[in-house]
Amino acid sequence: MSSNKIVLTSSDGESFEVEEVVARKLQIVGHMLEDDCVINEIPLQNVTGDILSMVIEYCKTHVDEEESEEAQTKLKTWDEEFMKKFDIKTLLQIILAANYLNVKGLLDLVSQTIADTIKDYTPEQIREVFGVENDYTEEEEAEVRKENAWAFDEADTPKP
Amino acid sequence: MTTMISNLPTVLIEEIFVRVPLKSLRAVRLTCKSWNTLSKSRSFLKLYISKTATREEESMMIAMMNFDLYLMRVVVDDVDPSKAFKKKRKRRKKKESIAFKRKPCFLDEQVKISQVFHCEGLLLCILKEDDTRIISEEHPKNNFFAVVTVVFLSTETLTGVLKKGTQKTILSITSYVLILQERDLGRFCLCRLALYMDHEREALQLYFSITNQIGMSLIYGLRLRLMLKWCRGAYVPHICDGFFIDEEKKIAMGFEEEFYRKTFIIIGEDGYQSTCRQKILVQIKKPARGKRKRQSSFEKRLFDQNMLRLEAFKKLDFF
Repeated sequence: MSSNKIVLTSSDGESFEVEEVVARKLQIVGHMLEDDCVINEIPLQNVTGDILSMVIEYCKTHVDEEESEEAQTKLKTWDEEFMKKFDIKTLLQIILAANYLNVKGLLDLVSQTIADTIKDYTPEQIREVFGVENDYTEEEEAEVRKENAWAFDEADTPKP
Repeated sequence: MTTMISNLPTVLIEEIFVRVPLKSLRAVRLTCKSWNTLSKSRSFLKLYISKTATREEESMMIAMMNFDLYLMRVVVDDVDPSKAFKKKRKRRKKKESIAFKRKPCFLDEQVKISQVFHCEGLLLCILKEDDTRIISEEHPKNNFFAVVTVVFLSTETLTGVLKKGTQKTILSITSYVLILQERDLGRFCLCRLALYMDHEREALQLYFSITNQIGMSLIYGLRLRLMLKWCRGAYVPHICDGFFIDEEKKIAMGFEEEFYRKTFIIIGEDGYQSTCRQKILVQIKKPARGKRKRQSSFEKRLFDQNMLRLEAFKKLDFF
């Protein structure tokens, strides 16, 4: 049954023919198939074609998760390279898609990638990159700064 | 279609923030109000702590400072203890002369000041004001046994935060420690704690004796040996506010107090080392008064029951 082909259609009408095992990596599809909806074409309303193609690319690579260490490292390297291709905006779209399509591995991967980006940024940089508005007043910002000033390079005696 | 991070559902934002190291969470909190609120929410903290396993380089400890509990993440580098030790001595020459005045036989001090322990997945919180008794008659005079008093923290405060990653969470009541079973939070054991100094082996030992929740019968005794070997004559750090033991790395970590200044120290197996390493704390808020009242009647009854039981134990004065 694994050789079955399934057609996934994106919100903008693009179609992708994939093998059933790959499609099953999208848990949303997996559930549909388990519910015995014997359909060969599945419309995916919340995903555009370009994003869906990336998700499918991920799923194809991860289709057989091998336990061996070698395979794991190989996949990991692939993941890293894969993530390098995208800018933040695309990553955000992928994370939304991964959430909607319920692809756990991809969701983890993208979250980690975004988190790694945030890691080295200052608040100003984060605002800029993610387009977040600073809604703090100066006093409030100072307050939060103080609250979180817990590293020892700043104060020896913690204030309660 | 442009996707902004603010358009993401909270679940996904949490999913991302959970993977941000604690150190960088500060920047996240400073970014905007909603993120600040989000990263402080209980649900997020729970999630965050449950992900600890994915961030292996960080150890987690709980420290009590100024009667507030803090959850703390410590990053320990592989530093050569002897080197760090020397460096530290040099830098702190002035202070050390004061420190040396404190006698190396630190035992009773050690016990009194110990506030929070976290060993082998057990957590003990020790109240400062409570009296500490040293029981020595049962043992040769060189071995001190001390019964440590511990503070009661409401289950919801700690278990929520600590459940994951620790096999058991200890909550505590005067002279006893309460151990919550991870799976069944309604069941707990009573536990008495003894800290003692083994002069022969020059090691500090910590004993737990655990009784079941109804009777006095001993379920098991948990013995934990601290991996510390104290060099004779060497300056023994005065650890206050509890410590954390990482048996794998064979180190203990804690705070050293000098004139109300707290220095974070790391103690290795051979002598000790000490550094103010990068660390960031998250405060675990104690429940406000009003919150207690909101406890369900069942919880309340459980609490009262246990308090009564403890009173009874106290009268028996069993060790």
